[in-house]
Amino acid sequence: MTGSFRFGTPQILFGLAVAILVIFVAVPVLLIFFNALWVNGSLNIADMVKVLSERETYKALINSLILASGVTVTGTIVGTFFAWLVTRTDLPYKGAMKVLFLVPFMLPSFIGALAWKMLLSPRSGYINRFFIETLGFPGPIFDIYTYQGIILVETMYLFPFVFIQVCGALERMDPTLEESARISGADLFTITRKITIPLVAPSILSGALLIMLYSMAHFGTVAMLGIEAGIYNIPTLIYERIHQSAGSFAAIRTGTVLSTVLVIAAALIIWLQNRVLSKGRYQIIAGKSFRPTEIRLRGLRLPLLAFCIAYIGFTIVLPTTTIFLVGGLKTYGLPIAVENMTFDNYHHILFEWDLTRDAIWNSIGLGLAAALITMFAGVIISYVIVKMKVPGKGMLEFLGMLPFSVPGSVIALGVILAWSGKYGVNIYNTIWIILVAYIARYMAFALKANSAALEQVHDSLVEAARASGATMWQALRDIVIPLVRPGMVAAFFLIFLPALRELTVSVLLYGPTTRTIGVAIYTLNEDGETVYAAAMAGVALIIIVTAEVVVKRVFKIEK
Amino acid sequence: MKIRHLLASALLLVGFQALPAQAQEKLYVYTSMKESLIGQLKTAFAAKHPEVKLDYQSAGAGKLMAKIAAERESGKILADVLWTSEVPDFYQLQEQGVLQPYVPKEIKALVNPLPDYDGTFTAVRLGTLGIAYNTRLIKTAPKTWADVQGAAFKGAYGIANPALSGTAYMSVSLLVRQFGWGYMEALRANGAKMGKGSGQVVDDTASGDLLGSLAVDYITLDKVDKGATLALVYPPEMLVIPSPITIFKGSPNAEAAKKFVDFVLSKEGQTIIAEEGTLPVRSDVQVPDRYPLPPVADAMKRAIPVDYKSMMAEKEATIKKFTDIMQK
Amino acid sequence: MTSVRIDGLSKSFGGRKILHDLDLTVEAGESFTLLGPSGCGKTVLMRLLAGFDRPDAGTIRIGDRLVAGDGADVPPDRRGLGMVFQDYAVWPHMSVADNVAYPLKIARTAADERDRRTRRAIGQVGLAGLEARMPSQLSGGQQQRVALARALVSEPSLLLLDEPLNNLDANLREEMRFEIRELQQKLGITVIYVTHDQEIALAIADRIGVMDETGRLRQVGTPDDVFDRPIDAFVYRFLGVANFVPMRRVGATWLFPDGAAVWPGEAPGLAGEHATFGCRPFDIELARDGDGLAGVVRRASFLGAQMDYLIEAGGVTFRAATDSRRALDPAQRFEEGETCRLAFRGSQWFDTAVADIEGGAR
Repeated sequence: MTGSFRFGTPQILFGLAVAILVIFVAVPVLLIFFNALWVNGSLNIADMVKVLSERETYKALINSLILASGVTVTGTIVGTFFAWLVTRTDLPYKGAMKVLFLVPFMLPSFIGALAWKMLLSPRSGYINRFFIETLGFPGPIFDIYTYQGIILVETMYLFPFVFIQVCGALERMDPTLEESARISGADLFTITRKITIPLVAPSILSGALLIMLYSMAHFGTVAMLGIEAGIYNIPTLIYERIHQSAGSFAAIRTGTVLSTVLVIAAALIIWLQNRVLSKGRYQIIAGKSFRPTEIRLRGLRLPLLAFCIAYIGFTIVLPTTTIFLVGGLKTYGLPIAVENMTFDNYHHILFEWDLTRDAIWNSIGLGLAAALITMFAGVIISYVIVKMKVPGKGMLEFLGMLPFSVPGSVIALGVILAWSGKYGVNIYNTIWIILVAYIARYMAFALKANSAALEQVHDSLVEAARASGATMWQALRDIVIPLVRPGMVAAFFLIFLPALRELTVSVLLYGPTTRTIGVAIYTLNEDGETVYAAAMAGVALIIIVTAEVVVKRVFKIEK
Repeated sequence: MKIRHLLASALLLVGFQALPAQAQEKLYVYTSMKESLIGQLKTAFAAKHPEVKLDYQSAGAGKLMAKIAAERESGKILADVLWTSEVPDFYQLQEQGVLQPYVPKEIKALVNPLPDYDGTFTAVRLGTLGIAYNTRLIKTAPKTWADVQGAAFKGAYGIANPALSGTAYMSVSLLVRQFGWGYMEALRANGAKMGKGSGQVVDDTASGDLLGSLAVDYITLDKVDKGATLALVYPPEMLVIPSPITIFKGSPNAEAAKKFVDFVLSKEGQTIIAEEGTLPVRSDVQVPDRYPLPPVADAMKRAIPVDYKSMMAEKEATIKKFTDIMQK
Repeated sequence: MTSVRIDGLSKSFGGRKILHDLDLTVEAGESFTLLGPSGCGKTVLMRLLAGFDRPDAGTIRIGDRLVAGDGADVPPDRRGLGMVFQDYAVWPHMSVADNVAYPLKIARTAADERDRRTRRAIGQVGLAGLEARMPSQLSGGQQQRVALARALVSEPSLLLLDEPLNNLDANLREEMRFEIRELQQKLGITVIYVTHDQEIALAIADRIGVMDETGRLRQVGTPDDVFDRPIDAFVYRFLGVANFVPMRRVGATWLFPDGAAVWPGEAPGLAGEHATFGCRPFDIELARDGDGLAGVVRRASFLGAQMDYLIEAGGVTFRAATDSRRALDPAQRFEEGETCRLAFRGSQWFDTAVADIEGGAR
């Protein structure tokens, strides 16, 4: 196997795969750890401990944990309850409800946070104002700038993680398991507690851990609602440090230490999740779809339907409407009334203001470019991992999946360390640095989608092409690519759609002309241009929802 | 061949993006001026100098300085022009030798509030800060700086974070100089808050989240123009803070930068500044009557005197002490 | 038409030696079958021939051209061969016509020429009229034919077939193997066919190479040669059901395992005291009396075309078979429990112990 290694297409592919992963993923992540641990060329744990023992740092860590746990608990309860309701009961319009409960997945949570700030800010939130001014309450009924407020908002946007998983599990669960318990005389409550819940527990848990992972690394909501109230989590603290401490290397180093903590926490969660999944895999739920027995809600049918509709109205319709209405206000603070409304804000951000127009084009361009590049790179790397018999491909797989566990703010920081001139290339302040970060961040999505597709392509299909006279490239072009195209298309949209509304990464990397939609909304809000922020958010919602709908219609990725 | 379509459209988009950037002089302005002011200036400047493509980064002075420091670290300062209200920063940059002196063409027509003027940086406007309050919720206007320590503003008076906002830093520093730290401690005792940027405290006042705030003139007046239930009042001791503009040494767009500096100091530029509700530095430009701004000479007379050099030295300590008090 | 010459070919995978120092020559225009149990390395040999893997040692020549070994490493696409895979490898995203036309497209054949040859190849395998179908609309046999047409369309001088009939049902398999043989003879191409099914091998080969599971070529010869004149017990056993009986020599006579019954035929010229005697079921002729070996019928099964017997004789159990037409004649028919006499029309003697033979070939 050694010695006469021929240099041909396989080696080019392999080299390309290694190069892409090393340059885009390994270098930035390794620089984070390196800078966290090494100071002036020597190992320095003491410094790291010092950073970690600063009050602000460990408070941020504790806050991250408090918020993530809170969201995980509430999100899991909400997600499981609704999943049960739409799969196992005779709730009317279940199908429609199921689709509606997935809508929050589409909406960026920082836009949700912006909306809730407008609704539940203690003095000026429209709901609080209504209670105080119209109903004569002595004070606000709810203050959004609190831990509870942040948990509430994050729950609204993250519960679908559990909802999807549990819906799937409940739909695939053999109903005879429940029926046999019923025949043995157990009542509904006992069955649910003793049979149903334990059987879907792995799905619940894995959904819960996804929420936890997401929330730990989540920037937008905490930044929108927490910073003013002094509630920091790790990503917002990294952001503050990088943006405030005069760009000194000390700030970046603090960032790297915080990042390391975040990565370790994320790795722990993923490890837990893998354990849960490997345990749960062989239980109950086999691929077949059963027609589950429905529990009759009887008298509760209509009240529960009303509850679901109210929930959807409250979490989707209300904030979205608020965004559009506030975006139409002449200035923030005015009551929402026809005489205070104008289209000027929308007109301004769409046709006059470079900042917002750039942001829209940047996001669309970045999304397309990142999705295209990552899609093709993903095919090459997956091909090497799945199809080529080369040593070290396990390492490639690890590298490709690494960003899955590395939060966005960490990737952004790594990219700053790697690409701002220290190593010869300086793309800081340009659109390219964001693109590079997106490629790293979304590579795992592309690998997952493409690997799955490639595993379906049997080796002999390629060999048949080679035997027919096709070169490696021709075989790739004519056989492999067309066959994995569904996987590639899926990868494209798995990347394009989240990139369109990305905030966590770009907020650390944007320059004067390289704002993204997310950054534009965030900075407008931060600068006190609330109505413009809302108008921009409204435009963003239209773009995002249009993209989602078009994608699903045209490419029918939906199962 | 859906992928091919995607590819084509992506290329088209990229091309679209790249087109207008070519064949022009470029100019990057880092400024703490808000959109309502810098946006107007940009439009007028573009009309007058179509050969220059101006892009600006509008953010708090603290953030801009952080960005510039990061850019210096990386060896490439993107900014050609800096224009904020945090005067000590300019003295510091001057000391570090990274600024390019340029005496504007119409220097004769300008009022200069800065000592030791040598053309390194030139004041473009005289920013004033007063008390903005929400007229929907506060019925009696505050008259003195001490009024916001009263029950009417309990728990709802805001000052922007001096680490982020240059005007906030200057104001805190001047108020402490005039009234001592006791003033800040009394504010805090009354539940005053530290907000984020100078724009946000005003917006929060307009929305009612805050009842009043230490507010920059044109930011407040812009919102009043748009119908916000806000009013701006000036206590007798005035906070007058010049906003200097400067060009970075080694800027590849120095010529465009000079055009911009001359433009904002021209009668046309200064008129825009005055129209937006802040004090111009030209005596031949008047602030419209609808604004409650005092005339320049009066403002200068009432202003709390500034010692920039000592401010520069005390900056870090001042911010830290203020932050400590407000977060107690 | 191309000959293939393999010299000293060796290949290991992960420390396991699959092929050892293998020599083989396939003549131009010959239909050659590699026959061996699964896992014997015949597929590896095929992949080395096609160029999907590289040999550790040895050389491969296709025609006069060195394609592998000795510094040569010609990639599969430049070896000018056609190949049919075990799982057909028909591209699911291309129609029948597109599949078949692909090699011509790659070779940049002119469009009208391409159409003509594609149609002809599809006609040759009997799929005319199905050109526009997608593979998912075809049966296994039809997919098989598509794969064959695709391999033939570029008129390769060498066609490699890797167990292509395995996944077909019995009737189709029989039909296809004759079609392949017919095509090969009509086109005059060199065919190397890999299989573990001796019936296919015997039916379509000019010559057969029998491999054992250690990757050695035991015997190369015509179907007659390997079937009737096997070089050793392995080859003999691999080419069909066989009885193996451990025999002992006492002086000039050979005794069956019961120690009493004497070998009735001509004694083999073997020097050792022990030997194995082998015969196929059809080699045994049954009679009611005579001087054959005395035995008792333990089981008689009517299988349609033949009658299958288990007969105890000489201390062992023989499997014997008789043509049904004869067996159903009441005079020739034996019931369970009847005594009979066994005569051996054909036999093979090996100086290998039975245990080694049985263990050696599954």
